Amino acid sequence: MEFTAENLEHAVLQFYHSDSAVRGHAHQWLTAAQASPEAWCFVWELLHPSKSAEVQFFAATTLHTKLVKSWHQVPPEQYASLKKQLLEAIASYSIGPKIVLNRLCIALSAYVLHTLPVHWPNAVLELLATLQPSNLPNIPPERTAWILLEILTVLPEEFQSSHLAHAQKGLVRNELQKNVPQVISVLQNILATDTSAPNNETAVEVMCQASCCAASWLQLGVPLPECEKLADHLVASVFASTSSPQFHQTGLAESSLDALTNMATHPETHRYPSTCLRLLGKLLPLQQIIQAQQQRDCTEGGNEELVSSIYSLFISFAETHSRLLLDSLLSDDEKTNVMQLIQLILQCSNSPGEYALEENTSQLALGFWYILQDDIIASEPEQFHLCVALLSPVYRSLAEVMLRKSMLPFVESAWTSEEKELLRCYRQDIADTMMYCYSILRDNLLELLHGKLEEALENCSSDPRMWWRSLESCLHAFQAVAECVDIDESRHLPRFLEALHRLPYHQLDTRVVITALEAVGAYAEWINAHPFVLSHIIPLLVTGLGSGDLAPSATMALKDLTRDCQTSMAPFAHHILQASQAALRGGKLKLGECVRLMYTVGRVLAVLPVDSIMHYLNQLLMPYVEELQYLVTLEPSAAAKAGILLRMKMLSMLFATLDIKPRTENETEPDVSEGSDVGTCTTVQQKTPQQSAAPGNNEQVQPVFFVLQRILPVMHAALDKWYADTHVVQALCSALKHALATLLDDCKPLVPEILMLILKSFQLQPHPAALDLARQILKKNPQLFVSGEGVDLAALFQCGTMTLSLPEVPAVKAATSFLVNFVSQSRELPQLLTVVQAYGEELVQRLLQCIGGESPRSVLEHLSDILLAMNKKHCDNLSRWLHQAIHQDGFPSPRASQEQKEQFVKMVLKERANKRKLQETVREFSLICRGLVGTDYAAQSSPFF
Amino acid sequence: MSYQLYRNTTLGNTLQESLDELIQYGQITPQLAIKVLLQFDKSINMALATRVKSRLTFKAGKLNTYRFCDNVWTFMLNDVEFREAQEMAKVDKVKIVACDGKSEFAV
Repeated sequence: MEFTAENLEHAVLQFYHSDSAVRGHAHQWLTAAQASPEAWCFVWELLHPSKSAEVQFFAATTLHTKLVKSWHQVPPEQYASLKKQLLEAIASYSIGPKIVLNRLCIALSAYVLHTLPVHWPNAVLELLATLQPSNLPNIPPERTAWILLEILTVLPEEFQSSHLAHAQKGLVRNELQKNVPQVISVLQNILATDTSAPNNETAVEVMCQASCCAASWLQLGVPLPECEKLADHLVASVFASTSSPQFHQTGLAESSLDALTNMATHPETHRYPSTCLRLLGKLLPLQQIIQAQQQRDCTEGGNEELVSSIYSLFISFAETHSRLLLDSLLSDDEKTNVMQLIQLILQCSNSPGEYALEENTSQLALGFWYILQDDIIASEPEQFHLCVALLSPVYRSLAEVMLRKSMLPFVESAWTSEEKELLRCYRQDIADTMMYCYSILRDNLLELLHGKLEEALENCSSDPRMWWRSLESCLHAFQAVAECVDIDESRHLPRFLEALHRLPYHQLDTRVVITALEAVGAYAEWINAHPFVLSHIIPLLVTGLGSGDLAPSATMALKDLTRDCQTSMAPFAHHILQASQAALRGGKLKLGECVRLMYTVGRVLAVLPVDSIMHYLNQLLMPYVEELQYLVTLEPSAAAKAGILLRMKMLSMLFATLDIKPRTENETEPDVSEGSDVGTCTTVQQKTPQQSAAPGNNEQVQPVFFVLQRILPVMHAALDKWYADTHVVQALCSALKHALATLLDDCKPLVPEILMLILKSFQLQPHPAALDLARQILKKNPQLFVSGEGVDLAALFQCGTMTLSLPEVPAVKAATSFLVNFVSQSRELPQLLTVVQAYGEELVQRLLQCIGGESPRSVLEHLSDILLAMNKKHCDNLSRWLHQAIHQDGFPSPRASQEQKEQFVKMVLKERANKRKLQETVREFSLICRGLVGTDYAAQSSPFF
Repeated sequence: MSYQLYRNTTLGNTLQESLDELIQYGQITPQLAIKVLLQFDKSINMALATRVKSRLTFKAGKLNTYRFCDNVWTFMLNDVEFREAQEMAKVDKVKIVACDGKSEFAV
């Protein structure tokens, strides 16, 4: 269809008034019309006043799109006539429709950006002169002013979003900035004349437009000293808009506040410190509006949005100029204003009502308290002390405010899940703010918190249902500062932990106890240095294990404590173990908690004599082993699987933690990620006898050995039934891995059986977890690996090779590091050598297939490692195998020519040391095989993803 | 222009894998693939900036390395514990790459 005015009109109507299928078609056709050169002509026809508003809007939008995207189609000799047409169109739409007029103004500003400064050097000044009521007698004067302001507003906005060439952008910016004084003066005049007597709707509209325009130019950047008068007018507009009913709903206050915020926060403002402080003086009276609104709040409902906007202005100012504020605090002239500002922000933090439910304002200030504290700490010692002295009372009040604001709701059930989540984040922010308070107040904060805690405890003893919230928020605050308190603090913390002993748990809301447990966990490191407090808190922890609601926090806190204070826990070991056993058998714990509790069990058992350990293991663990033994005889079902997984994970956790020959600090901790079953394998160093903490233990057999020995047959049985289930195999391998990491050399007698297990798992179905485990054994003790009788090394090698083709990166990674280790050790161990010689060709074929496009590009990096290992240890064979492979037609990809394949082989064989270079070679060849070489896409997508 | 760092995430990698395959089988051109990738950058930057409200805390045993280069902070952490409400995960190594999210969307 031709792009004629008639057809277009028809299509626009179809677009707005048809069903979605027709609309889609019309949209496509209209977009094509916009892109066509004919658009330059038809827009003017469609802008005719007789057309419908939809058609006019389409025309104005098309005009803008053309000016932005197809400017090169306009020959310079037509610039002048185009300008004339644009201005005429704007004049003819001066009384609306507004949406068309707005588009035309944007189109004109796009035109200005292209013609500044060469073709239309004084564009802004000329517009200011042309768009005057005297030149346009047919248009009402307010309309003229409005149109001028609309154009001036969109000009900087269009500039910010434009994609001009870098040089042109700089030129245009300069031109625009040259005109700042004139624009500001126009705005000042409008804002000044109209504040006194706004007589009609248009006048109000013009004032709003003027403040929007100011916001737009201020964002571009106006030197602060040039805006002082403008600031006065904007502040006056905010006052006017809140006092006069005509201005309500116009958005004048919001746009004026926006403009002031842009003025106060522009990055250049720091060059004018004294003007900034004068500006602060002009802004401070706005607090009267907040006070008035809050008083009205009690009677007829204040405007929270307006209050928030004014607070936001103060906070933005303070955040941008926090350094300046601190410096001015020390000068007598400025001190009063600065303190007033800080008090205002404190008042914002202390906004009345419950956060998330009744108010949303208090969270605005949280960022400021961090910035201020950060700047105080960064001050020179002399200034630091002065600032701390001046601001300590503020941070004290802040801490008290935070205690109140962080209180939990009386009844949580009335809150939606979104509100609860908001409150949780808010409380976390408050916890952070409490830390900042600590940075300023140090000991004084602990003193304050302790006082509040005692007060809350006393109140709770008379009326716990009324006062539990203050108690909880105190505990929450103590928890928040745990990380920063010095390890040798000995005045307040002992008293705090002793107070926990006195909590009337049974009368309190569970949420108090949960927070108490979390606080205890947070102080684990400190408790390790002051173990005498343990007797105060163990009862709390043990009580927690017995309740389903408290168990998550109780197990978590116990885990923290047994991690950090293992040896100090010895006196409480029996108490904890008995409680754990009762909890595990009580059936109230969830899966994650059972597994987590085994961490504590393992760590506590490890400090007992071996006899006691074995005794507890029999009592506590054997039932689970027996259950497991039974579960694996059942036919696979969801219930059986859940049961097996739980017990396997519990065993796994015990294996990781029950270590009676712990390593010294320099050695790597075992990996006990709760989140993943596979985890990341940590390198476990070989242990020498001197490194053992307790030399006497060396002859002793690790209890884990007996458990493992007992469990291996069960694992075999589990594998027979569950080999196809990734979760079960992962859990099984993870248990084995943790056992090996604890046992180290002690596991020797069990290695053949473990290897059989891995092999069996692979023969039934390959899983990366098993290969990862095999790699660990191979790396740790290769001799051990090959000595296992009946272990089919060839089959393991082939499994690794096959795994390379899997799409999952972690699987390929596990296979790669297994194969690299295998190949690297193969010159020293004849058993491995035979395997590589027999099955290496298969491996090389597979590698080429993967590089040639079978595998995702993200694994190329790993595949190169195998090529490198092969080249180092089996260079002749590799050369032979590679050459044989590439002589097959179309292998690994028909896209690679024979020449390219030979070049690739040559480069691979040449590279025996530089891993990175080899990776590049492999990547390049892979791109050739995939048809991606030389494309923008390949260059842009991440090298190895 | 949006940040491209999210290409190296599970979602980004999977997208690139799919695009690779589509090109390999001649279903799309590399030119289209690059458009898709750029749209991905835009969408994920926007989504992460505007739609994510969750928050979690973590604690690192050790801050191994930190640097601030080209307006990008990089932190390498060891022994990191992540906590979100009642859940917890431990990770050996964490790398944090932090770009200025505000300036990207301010204009």
